Amino acid sequence: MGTREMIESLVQSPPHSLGWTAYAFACLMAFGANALCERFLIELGLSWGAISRQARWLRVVRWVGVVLGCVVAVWLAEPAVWLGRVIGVAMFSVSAGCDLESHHVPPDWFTVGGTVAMVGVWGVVGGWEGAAGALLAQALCYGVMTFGIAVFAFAAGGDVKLMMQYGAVVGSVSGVGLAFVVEWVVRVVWLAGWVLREVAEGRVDDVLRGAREVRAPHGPFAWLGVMGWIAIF
Amino acid sequence: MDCDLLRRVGVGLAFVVMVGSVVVWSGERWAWGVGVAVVVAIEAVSFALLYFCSRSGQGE
Repeated sequence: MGTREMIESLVQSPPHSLGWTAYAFACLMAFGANALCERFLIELGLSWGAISRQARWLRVVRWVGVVLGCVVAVWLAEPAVWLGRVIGVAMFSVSAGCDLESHHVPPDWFTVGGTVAMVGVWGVVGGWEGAAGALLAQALCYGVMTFGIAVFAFAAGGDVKLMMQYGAVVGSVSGVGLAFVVEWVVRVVWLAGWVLREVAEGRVDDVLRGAREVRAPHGPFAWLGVMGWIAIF
Repeated sequence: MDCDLLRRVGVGLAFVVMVGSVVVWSGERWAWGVGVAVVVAIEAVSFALLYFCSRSGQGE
């Protein structure tokens, strides 16, 4: 696709009637999401002045990633669902961004409140079936995470609320299944890269003895799962 | 309150929610109303039990 075709696709594809207005709305949502994330991080003692140089770069990556995510959510959406998707991506970006930088999820009022709000958004966008689909999707995520944490201890308690929001953002059980698959493909690739780096740096014995722990927050992978779902559907 | 027991009940209900949400989703659309209401009600009870016990810190 050439530059001209790319620009035409950006302007004319999904939200035909809105054009650049939809992208401006996406940027506004992304800015709001980033600002809210900053507020939560400040409450955790992670203001710009209190973090390391490396953490500042990570924060810049998060700002850019959230903007790109919201723009892509508009770009690849059907006209009927672009609004629900961009609101969902912006909302989930706050939770994933906090998890990325602090390994903590936002307060309960945001995660649980966001879940309820997204059910409402899908209700407005898709009617009764849209709301029911989002309710079932967040219930599935709640059940899988709660049961999984209790039995296999593969995540922390806060991840349950994060995943409820994830289900509500995706808005359908089939979408959640697809997003899970994308998320785990990304995880496996990331883990392979981590192991290769450790081997390259001569720490293979530490890895084999389990002396080096992999610390990977759940939120960013889940966010990539959501973006994968948007790219495919 | 015996939070150890309540936690087990909460996790058991979460399993019911996990299975129930897929069963309702794969069922007929006309039956979604009741199915969604039941699944969400069970989820709310499970969430409340686990939330209460995580806040009270009992049964550790």
